[in-house]
Amino acid sequence: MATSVIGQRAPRTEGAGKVTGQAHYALDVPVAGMVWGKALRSPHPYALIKRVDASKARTMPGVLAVITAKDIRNVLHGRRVYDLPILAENVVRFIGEKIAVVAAEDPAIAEAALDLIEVDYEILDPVLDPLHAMDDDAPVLHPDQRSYTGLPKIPEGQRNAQSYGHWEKGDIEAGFAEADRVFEETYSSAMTHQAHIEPQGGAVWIDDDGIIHVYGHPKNPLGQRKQLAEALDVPEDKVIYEFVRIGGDYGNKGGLMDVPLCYYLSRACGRPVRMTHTFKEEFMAGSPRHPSVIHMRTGVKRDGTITAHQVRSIFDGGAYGAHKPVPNVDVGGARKAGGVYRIPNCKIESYVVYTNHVPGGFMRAPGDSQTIFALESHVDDIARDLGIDPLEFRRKNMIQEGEADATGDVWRDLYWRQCLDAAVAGSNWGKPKPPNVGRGIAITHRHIGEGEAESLIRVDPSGQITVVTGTPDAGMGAHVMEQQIAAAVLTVPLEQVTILPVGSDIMPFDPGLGAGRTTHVSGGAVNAAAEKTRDELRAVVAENRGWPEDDIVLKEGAFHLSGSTEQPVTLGQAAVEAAYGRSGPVEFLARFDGRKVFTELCMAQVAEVEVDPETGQLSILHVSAACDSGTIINPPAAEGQVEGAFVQGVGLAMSEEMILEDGRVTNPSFGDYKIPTAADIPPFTLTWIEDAPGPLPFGGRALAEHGHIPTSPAIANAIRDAVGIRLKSIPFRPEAIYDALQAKNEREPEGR
Amino acid sequence: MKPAPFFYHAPTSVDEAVALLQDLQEEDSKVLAGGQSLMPVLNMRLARVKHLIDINKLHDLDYIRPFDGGLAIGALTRHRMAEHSTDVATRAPLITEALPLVGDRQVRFRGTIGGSIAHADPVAELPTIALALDADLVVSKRGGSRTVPASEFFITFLTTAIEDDELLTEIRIPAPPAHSGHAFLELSRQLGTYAIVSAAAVVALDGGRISEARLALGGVGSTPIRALRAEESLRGQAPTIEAFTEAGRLASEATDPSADVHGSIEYRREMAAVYVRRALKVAAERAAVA
Ligand SMILES: Cc1cc2nc3c(=O)[nH]c(=O)nc-3n(C[C@H](O)[C@H](O)[C@H](O)COP(=O)(O)OP(=O)(O)OC[C@H]3O[C@@H](n4cnc5c(N)ncnc54)[C@H](O)[C@@H]3O)c2cc1C
Repeated sequence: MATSVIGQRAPRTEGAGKVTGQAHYALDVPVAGMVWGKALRSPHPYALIKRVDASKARTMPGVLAVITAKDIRNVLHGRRVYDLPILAENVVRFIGEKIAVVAAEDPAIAEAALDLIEVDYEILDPVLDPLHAMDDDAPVLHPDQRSYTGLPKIPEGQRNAQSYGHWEKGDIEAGFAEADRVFEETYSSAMTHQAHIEPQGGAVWIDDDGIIHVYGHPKNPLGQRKQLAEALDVPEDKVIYEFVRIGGDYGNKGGLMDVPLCYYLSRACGRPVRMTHTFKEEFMAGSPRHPSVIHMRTGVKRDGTITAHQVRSIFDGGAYGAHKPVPNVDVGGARKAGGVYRIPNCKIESYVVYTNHVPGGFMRAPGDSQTIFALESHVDDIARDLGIDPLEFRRKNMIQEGEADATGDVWRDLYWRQCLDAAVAGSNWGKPKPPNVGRGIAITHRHIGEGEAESLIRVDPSGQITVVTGTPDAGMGAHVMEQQIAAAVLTVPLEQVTILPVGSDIMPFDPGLGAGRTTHVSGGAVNAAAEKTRDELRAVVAENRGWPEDDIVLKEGAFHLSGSTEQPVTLGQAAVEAAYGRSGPVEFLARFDGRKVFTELCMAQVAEVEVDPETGQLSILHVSAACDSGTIINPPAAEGQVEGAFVQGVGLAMSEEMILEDGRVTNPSFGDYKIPTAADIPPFTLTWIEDAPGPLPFGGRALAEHGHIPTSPAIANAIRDAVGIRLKSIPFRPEAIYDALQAKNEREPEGR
Repeated sequence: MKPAPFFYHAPTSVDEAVALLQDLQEEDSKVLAGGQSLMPVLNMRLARVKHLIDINKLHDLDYIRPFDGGLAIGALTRHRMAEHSTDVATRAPLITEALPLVGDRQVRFRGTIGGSIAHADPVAELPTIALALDADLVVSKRGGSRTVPASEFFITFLTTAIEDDELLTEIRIPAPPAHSGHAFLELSRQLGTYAIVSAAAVVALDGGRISEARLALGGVGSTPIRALRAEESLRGQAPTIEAFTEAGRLASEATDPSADVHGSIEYRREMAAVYVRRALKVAAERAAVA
C-alpha cells in the first residue's frame, strides 16, 4: 500500500485563500443589492408582550422592511425539540430574544429604526436559578411544552425540564451499604462561549425562480436545509445552503439562528438580506455551553475499590432547548459521570432545565467537560483522602478491554492504560517538587463519531482527480485530509487531487461536522470512493487488455501488470477507456457506513501548577497529554485539534465565564470575557499513541473532541497537591483560590 | 459597529490644534491620539462626539529627550517607542518595566503615552507611574501652557485637570533620586489585561537606611493613589520585610477600591498590601546595588 502522503504535513487546500483574505465566509459573498437586517431584542429576562407597534419604524426614511411576529408564519422550530418561535410574540423568555427585525441599506439606519419600535411589556419574575426552576413553586416557563414537536421523554410533573437522562446499573443502595467510606461533593461550572471568531450570521438571496440561496454557516448543509425548509414551509429543493467557509464552529453553528429572518426580510423588501450578530449579541443571544451543578456521592472500600456511585447533574439550559441537536435534547456528557472506572452499582440522573437565561447550545464534547471536571476532581479527593496515590487509584479502578463501564456500555480496543502511563511519563509526576508546586492527573474517555456519508470522485482524461465534497470547512483541515486519503488510495501526488466543495444542491450526502466524526465518516466515504475508482478503473484496464485483474497493481498513479514489461496505464488513460473513448470525465460515487463503532478513545493529562499562597495567583507550569491517535493523516491538523482543544481547556480552567446577573450577561465582549492568548499557554507535551489501530481510514482514531476535557480537573487536582485546597467551581479565579487558602489557614491555624 | 457620524479635524501643528480646541470648546469635541481607548468607546457607541481632533499629525509631540537630569516625553510618543528607549530605561526605568504589561504589541504600537495619561483610567499603568515619579504634566492652550503636578492631575475616574480647550503636550519626569531602585508589579488575570491591583515603588537608600520612598497604587480607587503615610513610615528605616509589611498595611488603608468581576473590595485591599510589600522589597534590593 503506497501511503506515503498519509502522515505528511500537507498544507491546507484552503490555506492560501484564507491567509490572503480571498476565502468567502457567510457575509463576504458579493450578492448585488445586499442590505442589512438588525434585530430588536428583549431587555427583560421574562415578560409578557402586551403590544408591539412598529408603525414609526416602517415609515422611517431608508427603512426597507420591518417584520414582527404577526407578519410571518411564526412557527416554533428547533434542531430536535421545536420550542423556539422565529420571533417572540406573546412572551419573551431571555434578555436578547428577538421581537422584530428591520432591513435597511445602511445598518445604522436599521439600528436607528429599532429604537422607533414600541413594545409594552408586563414584566414577570424570572427564573434564574436552575435548581429553583425545578421546585414546585417555580413559574412554568413553557406551559405548552407537552405539545412541542420533538419533545424528549420527560417524567410527568418534572417542572421546567428540557430533558431528563437516567442510567442505572446494579443495586446502588447495596453498593453504599458495602462501602467503608462515602464521599459526597457538589461541583459547578460557568456558562462559556464557543468564542468562534466569526459570529453567527447569514445572508439570504431569493432568485428569480424563487430558489432560496443561503450563505450561512453550512456546518451541516443538508440538515440545515431541512430545518429551514420546514420552518419556512417550502420544499427542501427550493433551498440551497451554498458552500462558504465557517469561521470557527466548536459545535455551535448547526442551527438556523437568523437565517429565517433574513428570508422574511428579503421577501418583504425584494433585496438580498444579511444579518450578523455583533459580539454583544453573540454573548447575549448565541447558544453557549451549559453551566452545570453536579452532585456526586461515591462509596469506596478502604483499598480504593468503588462500590457505589450516584450522580445528579443539573444543566442550565436557558430559555429554549432548540439549539441542542440530539434526540434526547440532553448534553451527552452527563452519561459519562462514571468516567473510565469500574463501578458495579451506579445511578446517574441528568436534568437540563429551562431558565430565563440565554439558551444553551453545543460546544465541543457537550457535557463532558462539566461532568469530567466533577468526576476527576471527586475521584482525586477520594484517592488522596484514602491515602492512595491518585495515579495508583486510577490504574486500579480503570476498566479493561471487554469490561462494562458505569452505565453498562462495553468498549473495545482500549489503550487507556497506555495513555495514562504516557501522560505521566511526559510529566514530572513522582519527582520532588518545590513548595506551592503541585501536580494533578485527569483522564477521560470519548467515543468516535458515527454516521454515514457519500463521496463523489471524478477522474479527468488528464488524470486529475476531483473529490466533489459536501464536507464543511470549519477550519479543522477536513479538506486536506480528504485530499490525502484520495491521493494515498490512488497513489498520486497531492497536486493531482482537487478538492471541490459544493453546496447542498449538488453535494453527495454528508452528515455535517460534529461529534468528532468527520475523518471517520466523511473521510471514510472519500476512502470508499477512491477505492471504488481504483477498482472500477482496474477492471476496465483488465478487460480491455485481457490482464488478470488480480495481477494489476496501482502505483504512482498508473496500473501495472505485475512482473511484466507491459506499458502501465495511467489513471487518466483508464478514465478515457472507462468513458468509451470519449474525452470526458468519469465519476464514481460511494457510500460509507460508519454507524456502529465500539472503539473508545482516551485522553489523559498531567498538569503541574504553582500557586502563590499570598495572592491566589495560579501559574500553569506544564501539561503533559497523551491520546490514542492511531494513524495520523495530517500531523498539523491533528496537533491543531488537540492543542487547540487544550487551549480551550486552559480557558475553562482559568478565565472563561459568562457572568450572569439578573438574567443579563454582564461581560459581553472579549475585553471582559477572557479567552487565553498565546502568553497564557504553558509548555505542552503531547504524546501520540499511534500504534492503536482504529476504524478511521488508514487505521486512525478521532481526535477532535477530548483535548480540553481533562485540563480543568488536572489543574484542580494539581492545586490540591500544591496547597491542599479543593476548588469545586470552574473557572478558578485568583480570589477564589485566595479565599480557599484563607479558609484553610483558619481551619488549620498551625499551617499544617 | 461604527461610530456615530462626527466632524473630523486633522491639525498639523500644536498651534492649530489648540486653536481648534478653543473654537470648539462649547461643542462636543475630543482629541484623538492612538485611539486605543477612545475608538472602542466610540465604536460601541458608549460615547458620541461632534468633533474629533486627530493629533496624529503633530509629529512635534513625538519625542523622548533628556530634561533637567530627568526626561521629557512628548504626548504623542507611542508606548512602543518608550518601551525600547534607552533614555527611558536609564532615567525612568519604572516606565520600561511597566510598558510590556500595557495591552499587547498592537495596542502599544498605536497607543500614546499622553493618551494613557489623559485617559486617566485608575487601573492603567502609566497614570500610576506618573504619580509615583512625581511627573509634571504640561498642558497647552492657545497662547500658552501650564504645568500640573501629577498629584493634582488625576481628579476622578477618567477625569483630569485638562480643560476643554487644553491639550496635554509633554510629560516631564524628574531625575531619579541617587542610589535608588524601582519596581512595578501588578496582579492581573492575564498578561495584557488591566491590573486588578498594581504597585509602583521607588526606594532610595543612604547608608543602609531608606532616605526616600515613593509609592503609588493602581486599581484601588477612582484615581491612582499615592500612599503618603506608607512613604512616611519608611523614611529613615532599614529596608526590612517588617518595614515593608507595615508600609503595605498603611498603603492598603489608604485605598478605596470598588468591587467588580475581577475582584472584591476586600481582595483588592489585601492584594494592595501584598503588592506594596513586594514592590518595596524589589525596589530596595535594586537600590542596594545601584
Ligand atoms: C486590547 C487593549 C488592551 C489594553 N490594555 C491596556 C492595559 O493593560 N493597560 C493600559 O494602561 N491601557 C491599556 N489599553 C489602553 C491603551 O493603553 C491606550 O492606548 C491608552 O489608554 C490611550 O492612549 P491612546 O493614545 O490610544 O489614546 P486615545 O484612545 O486616542 O485617547 C484616550 C483619551 O485621551 C484623550 N487624549 C489623548 N491624547 C490626548 C492629549 N494629548 N491631550 C488631551 N487629551 C488626550 C482622548 O481625547 C481620549 O479621551 C488597552 C487598549 C486595548 C485596545
